[in-house]
Amino acid sequence: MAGVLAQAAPPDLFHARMQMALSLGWHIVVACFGVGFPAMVLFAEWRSHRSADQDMNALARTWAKALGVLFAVGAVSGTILSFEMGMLWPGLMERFGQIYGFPFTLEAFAFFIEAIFLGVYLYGWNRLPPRLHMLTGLPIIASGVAGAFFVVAANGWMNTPTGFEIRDGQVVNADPWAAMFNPSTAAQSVHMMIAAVMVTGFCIASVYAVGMLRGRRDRYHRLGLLVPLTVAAVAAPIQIGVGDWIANVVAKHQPAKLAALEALYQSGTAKPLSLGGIYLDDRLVGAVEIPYGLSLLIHHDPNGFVAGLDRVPPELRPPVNVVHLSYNVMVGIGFRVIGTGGLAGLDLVATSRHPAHPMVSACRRAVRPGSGGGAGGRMGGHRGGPATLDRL
Amino acid sequence: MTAAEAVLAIMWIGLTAYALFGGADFGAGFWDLLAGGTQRGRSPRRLIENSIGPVWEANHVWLIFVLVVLWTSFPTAFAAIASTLYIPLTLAALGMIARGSAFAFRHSVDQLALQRFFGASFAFSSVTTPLFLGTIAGAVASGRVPPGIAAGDVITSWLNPTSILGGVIAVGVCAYLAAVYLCADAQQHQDPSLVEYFRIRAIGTAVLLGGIALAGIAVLRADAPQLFDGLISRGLPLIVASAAAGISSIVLLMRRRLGLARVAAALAVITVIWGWAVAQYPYLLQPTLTVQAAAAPETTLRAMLISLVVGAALLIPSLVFLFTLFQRSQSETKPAAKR
Repeated sequence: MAGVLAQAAPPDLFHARMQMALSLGWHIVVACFGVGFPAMVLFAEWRSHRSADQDMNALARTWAKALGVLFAVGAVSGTILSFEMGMLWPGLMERFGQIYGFPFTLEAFAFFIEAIFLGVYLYGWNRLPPRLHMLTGLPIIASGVAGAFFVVAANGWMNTPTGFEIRDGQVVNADPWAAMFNPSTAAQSVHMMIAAVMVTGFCIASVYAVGMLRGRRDRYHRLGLLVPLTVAAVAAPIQIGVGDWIANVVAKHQPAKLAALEALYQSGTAKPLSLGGIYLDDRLVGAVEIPYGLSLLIHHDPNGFVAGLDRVPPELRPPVNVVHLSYNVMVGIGFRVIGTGGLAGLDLVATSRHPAHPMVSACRRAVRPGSGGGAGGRMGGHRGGPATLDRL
Repeated sequence: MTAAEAVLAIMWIGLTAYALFGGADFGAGFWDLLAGGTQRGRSPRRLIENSIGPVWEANHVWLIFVLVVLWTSFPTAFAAIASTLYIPLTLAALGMIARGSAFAFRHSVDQLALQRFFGASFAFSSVTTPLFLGTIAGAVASGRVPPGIAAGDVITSWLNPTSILGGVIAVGVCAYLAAVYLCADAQQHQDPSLVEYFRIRAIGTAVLLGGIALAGIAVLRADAPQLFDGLISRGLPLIVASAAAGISSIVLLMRRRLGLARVAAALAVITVIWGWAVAQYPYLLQPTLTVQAAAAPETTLRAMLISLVVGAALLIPSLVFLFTLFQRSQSETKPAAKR
């Protein structure tokens, strides 16, 4: 199985890759919460102060605690990854640490600021006045987003290395700024930040969804579902556009990677989009094909030319199956959660036209704390519609 | 001072901060380990948790900071250290995983058995992690990490007299700093019995550590002659200052001047770390690789210096804010149960 997935790599390289995949696969999920969660926690705290909302207050405190635990786990797994950069990839670091280590240094500062203010925010809850306490949350949001940018910039460099030349086998003319702003950085970092918001929103919402399915349908649980679900549902469709952007960057700068993502062997025009299947002996077997799909996606033209793996020397071809299938799974999950968000939105719109519908009253109760005073009007939105979606 | 030396000095400040703050955290775990059964150890454990809770994450980012500065500015040295010393690095990393997850989760579980398990793994890994980091320091200090990828012996590079000395001193320093800090914390909480508890332990650890350091002179002379020569020449003023600060911290502890004892203890550690650096200069990896030879090109070092200065301008006020907030509020509030 491993052979089919990864094809033949030297055993050491295979093990190093698997270890890195495991650590990074774990870290990236946890790290998403450090990027996407702080704004949600702060929003809940802000609502709790604005309208003296006990449920929002309880949510904010629970979420802050969860954020603290997740951040600690992310800090540890991030430390492990920085060890592994040297233990697993000393050759890469020895030659190129001088070029692309730079954004990691900036990330260390961002991470530091995030850790410091998270400590202040978590332990200062009862020691600081509310306004100052919320202000200490702002650096957490800013440094979380900045940290994501720096780390993804380093990863972008690994995709499209810039900022150096190789002369007689020696790395010369190092330019760490050019390395940081390589062609992949912009699209990749936006993709990652939105993904972080999606991961956070859907994961937190799912916790309260499970609670509601088990019968706990009080206002606390409804809010716990609604706030993160709304954020994630708004973020998810944006990812379609960003996904198109990033795929075009890959097609332009890394045609071999695109060919592996799409499991495309034969270069040519009017290429179909292949979903699923197994790539064996330079052929994709059992895939569902959408005619002209790939050419349309890459060039926005049904007859666009797409380069396949036949253009890549065999020893430089990436392992196709693991890349193609995980790419398909990622896109599939993306559309699945966009559907979830869309359904939630449709439900809100449809039910808002029939005020007697139980979902509407549920939402009304959810977004209107207390006895429906001024705060309810602000949060409940205009013309009585549940405006939570457009409010966020 | 060249750009490479400036970057290295800033990295060394980061390493010093990790020893002072991260070290105190590890040491707090050390005292947690030795605090006895659930009943007997309750009050010291509560003070420990209260003291390290808010600053826990921040203290450990120092290590990440040191690593990223090292791999960007001195990539050959980083590659050599990480590849030759992958065994103690892995063992230290396992300790960090156990420690971090235990600290994060022991308050999230309800069962006493699970709490005990996480508590024990927190405490145990608080000792093993600095031990292995100390062996790494010993490996570098005794010149057992040659430049090149995995060019050194993967076993004897970190299992040797200097490394063992480094590991023992690292654990001792952590325990010593933590005891002195906790002593002053207990005083702020107006808990005289805990003050005595940690005061006795601080004095005991300081005396023990002094003895180990004296024995260490013989070890370094035999096992790390190049470092030893540096220590008794250029590094001598710092080593003497360290001994003086260590002795004054014992005197201050005996006279119950706990705030000043804290400063003296920190000074004793700072001077030892900088004494090592001065003794080893100009070599990054003894006996051949100099700081200049290992340094990244000038453009990278300039970018690093800019970002380090800007970063410090953001970081230092934030850190001061964090520490003053909790030092001040600690003296105002009782050590109530947290989280």
